Amino acid sequence: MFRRLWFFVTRWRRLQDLDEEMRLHVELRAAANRRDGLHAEEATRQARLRFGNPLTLREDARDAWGFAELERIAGDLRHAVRRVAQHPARTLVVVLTLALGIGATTAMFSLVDALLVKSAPWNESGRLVWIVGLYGRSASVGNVSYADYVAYRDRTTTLSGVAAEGGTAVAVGSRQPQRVLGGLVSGNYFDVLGIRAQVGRTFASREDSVPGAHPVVVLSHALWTEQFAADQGVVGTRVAINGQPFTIIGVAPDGFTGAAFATDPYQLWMPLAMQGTAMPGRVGLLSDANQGWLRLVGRLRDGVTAVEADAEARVIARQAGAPPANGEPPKSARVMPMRGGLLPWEQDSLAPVFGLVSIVPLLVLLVACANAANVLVAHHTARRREFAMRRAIGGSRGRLVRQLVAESLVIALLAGFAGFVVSSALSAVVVRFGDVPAEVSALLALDGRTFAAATAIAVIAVLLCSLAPAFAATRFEVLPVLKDEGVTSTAARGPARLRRRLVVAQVALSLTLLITAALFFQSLSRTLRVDPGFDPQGLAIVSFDLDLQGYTPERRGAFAGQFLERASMLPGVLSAATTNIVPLGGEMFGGNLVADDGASSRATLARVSPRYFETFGLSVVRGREFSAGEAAADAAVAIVNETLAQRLWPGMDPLGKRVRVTEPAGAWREVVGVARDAKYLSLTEAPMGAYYVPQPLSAAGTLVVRTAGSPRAALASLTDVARDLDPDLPLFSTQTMEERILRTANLQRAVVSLLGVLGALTLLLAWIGIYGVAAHSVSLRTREVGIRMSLGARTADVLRMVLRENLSLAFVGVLIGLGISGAGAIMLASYLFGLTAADTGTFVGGALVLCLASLIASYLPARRAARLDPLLALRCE
Amino acid sequence: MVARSSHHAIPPGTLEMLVLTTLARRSELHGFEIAEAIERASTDVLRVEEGSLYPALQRMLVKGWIVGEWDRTDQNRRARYYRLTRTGRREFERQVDAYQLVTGAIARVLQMA
Repeated sequence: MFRRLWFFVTRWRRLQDLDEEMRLHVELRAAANRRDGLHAEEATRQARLRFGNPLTLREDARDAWGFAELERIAGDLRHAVRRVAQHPARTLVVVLTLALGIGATTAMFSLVDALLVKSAPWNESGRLVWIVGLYGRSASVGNVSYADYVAYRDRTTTLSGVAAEGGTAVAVGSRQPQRVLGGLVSGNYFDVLGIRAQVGRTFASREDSVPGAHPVVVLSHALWTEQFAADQGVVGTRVAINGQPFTIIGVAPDGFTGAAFATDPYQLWMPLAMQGTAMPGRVGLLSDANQGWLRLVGRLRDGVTAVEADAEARVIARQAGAPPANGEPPKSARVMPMRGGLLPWEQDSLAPVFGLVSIVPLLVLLVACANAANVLVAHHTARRREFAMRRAIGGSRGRLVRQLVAESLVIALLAGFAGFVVSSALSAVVVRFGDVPAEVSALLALDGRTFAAATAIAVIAVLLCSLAPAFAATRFEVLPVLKDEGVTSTAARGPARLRRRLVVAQVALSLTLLITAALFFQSLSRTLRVDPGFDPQGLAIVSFDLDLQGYTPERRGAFAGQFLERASMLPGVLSAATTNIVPLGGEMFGGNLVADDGASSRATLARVSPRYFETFGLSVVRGREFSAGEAAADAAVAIVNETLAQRLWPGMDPLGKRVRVTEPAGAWREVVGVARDAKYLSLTEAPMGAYYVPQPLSAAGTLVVRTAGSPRAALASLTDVARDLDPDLPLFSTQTMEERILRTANLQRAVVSLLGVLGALTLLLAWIGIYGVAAHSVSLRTREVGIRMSLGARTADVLRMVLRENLSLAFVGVLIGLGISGAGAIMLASYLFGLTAADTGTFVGGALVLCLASLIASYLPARRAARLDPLLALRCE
Repeated sequence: MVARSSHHAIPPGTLEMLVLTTLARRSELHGFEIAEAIERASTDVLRVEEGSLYPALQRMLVKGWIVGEWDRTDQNRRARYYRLTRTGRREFERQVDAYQLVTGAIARVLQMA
């Protein structure tokens, strides 16, 4: 193959060589002839005769090189470019139509590629792996403890290095510190990943040996740029982290934010040995073998496969852990090749979701292809006389098809480029309205891979949508077409049938998309209408972390007390409370509860201050809230919600009953109140038990106020109050409850907006398709209409005839579309909240919309037919 | 046309095999020499259709069986000398084996008849 290409490239020199060679042969033969006694002229003549026709031989030789084929293709392409340029309108329609489909598909490709496929720059060899722990009966994937890390690091023979990373929020800076995500990493971390410092150096292994001994930090490129003005001189200086001085030893290269590039980016890195300083609230993690908090990254040794490393990791995990208690399966581990930018467990759980979502752009692409095919069929049909003529003078059908495909390829390249542009626009829209986190939107940045993908998709799509039209357009008997002056409906039957099928497919697919989009939209609006159990309006939330500031418990209590008191006195504030966790943030603490009579149940756990329920507007249906005294003394009292009460003491009065948390074992507490059920993790969750215990002021981390005015304004005042109390305390998660709730529906909102936009696009495409077919068939039947009208058909008859033909197509499409969407809805049922039989309305509505669209699309050409002047129509063509 | 009557044209498809055989015996030859060698070796029974030798040589070049290098003849003329590549030698052996197998079979059939 390469040799052939090489021959092609060097073909001029080769032809000259061949000519020279053949000339030599004839001369030598002539010389031999002369030696045999022939005189000069005759000798040359005989030599030429014996040699044969050099021109034919030259052609034969060229065939041997396979040039002829290549040269013919080049000719086809030149011709195709000319034709494409000759019909700018048609080219524009086809290219734009395809660009929409290609753009949608490419945008999705770039996202899936970044999250699940593309290797990080530091993993180009693909030798990096994740090591995750497998826990419990279900072998769920999780982080590993420091002790397990040491076991893997020291015992592995399949990996050339094992590094660990664990994230924690830290406060950086001494005045007005900034809260950032820091990584606690092993001393070999940068070496295993193969990351070199951009400025300064990375950790030496001795800096990770003695706990607390080496307060050193490597800054991320982003933090270095934002906080230190990209000053190379910061290396060697000190910066306060959680109030403790750390020496900056280096800056990581731009783009490196941790091993998994599509997740929360680390802003700085500290040695694992500094864990106590970095996480003052959880001192001792390094020695606690039961706390899994580290992600492990390993580099495979040369010649070792991930499977071998996996087998070894399982053995190490089993040996490292304590023998399992009471029938629990032994601890195990899994080695997973590092792919994409997601965390190992996300890799597993997100893949099917993306697979599902990817279907939608493909549907759009199919509809767009159908449309483009339609335009091409119409166009080819108009050229049948030209084709017939070429066939008559000896052109083969294959050659015609090839030329049409060449035209399509030129269109494909244009469409690929346009699709790339559309895809960047679509990505921008998704980022803008889908509230996509910055790290993910950075992944949507389009690169060479995306462009290659767009072009590949374009070529495949165009071949798909041009082969059938090309074959259809060239399948005919030559003579009838040539003899026939006009192209009558009979002659164009083959292509017409194809076009009708395409319309049916378009209608079906766009109906499917519309219905699916509507189902998701309804699911979203139902979700947002769900009563969270409390009143989200007027709630403002701020969080703070006093541990990181080095507060003693006494100072913590004093601060929280003052903050709470001044917050309650702010104008408009009706009530204020503190808690350790606010519902509907996607996470809650969970625990197992046991009642004094032995019943047990799982529930979410929260520590709340007095007036918490009042502030949230969450009614306490029996009993009372916690008192200030109970909170201060951490009294042995508890409040349960209705669901938990029902589960622990069915049919009984829960007040006065005793309950406690098992694992970790808590004290027995007396139930003093029953609160209404609320939503805790998400709005769509099933009723869940909830268990509240009093929170002393010293443990407060989040302040919630209910205001009569605007909660946004309240947030500003709260920030002022906090700054007044401690200018160095960073506040985080400042938001109103309504914002928080909207955010829980982010993914759904993104899906709905994507589906909505794409659904509308396909509806438009389908409409254009129907209109095109109707208009074309009317123009082909002008003469027939003329005859009918001169024989007495009325305007209404003609109208009905044309409409019937087109609407019947639409009906078939609608029926098929209803079938597909029905099946789709069943498949998607788990993603649709509150899907019921009542949603048949959506199906009916979607079908009506498409019928109406088809009616309009076919009415316009039908009216034109009906208004024809019979005389003109008869003379037409 | 006198020449045609006294010689037999080469059976179709065997030209490449003859070229391979010739080049296998004599290391480097140019086109005219190959044609002469085939004629001489067959004691003038087989006559190469001289012109068609060149497309055949090109086909073999494309397949990588032979390579050609420009050099000077004894009379100091520029000529392209061909020789077998390793692939070409393997192909030669393969073709000779196949040929002998077939001719042997045909000969046996003819004897039986």
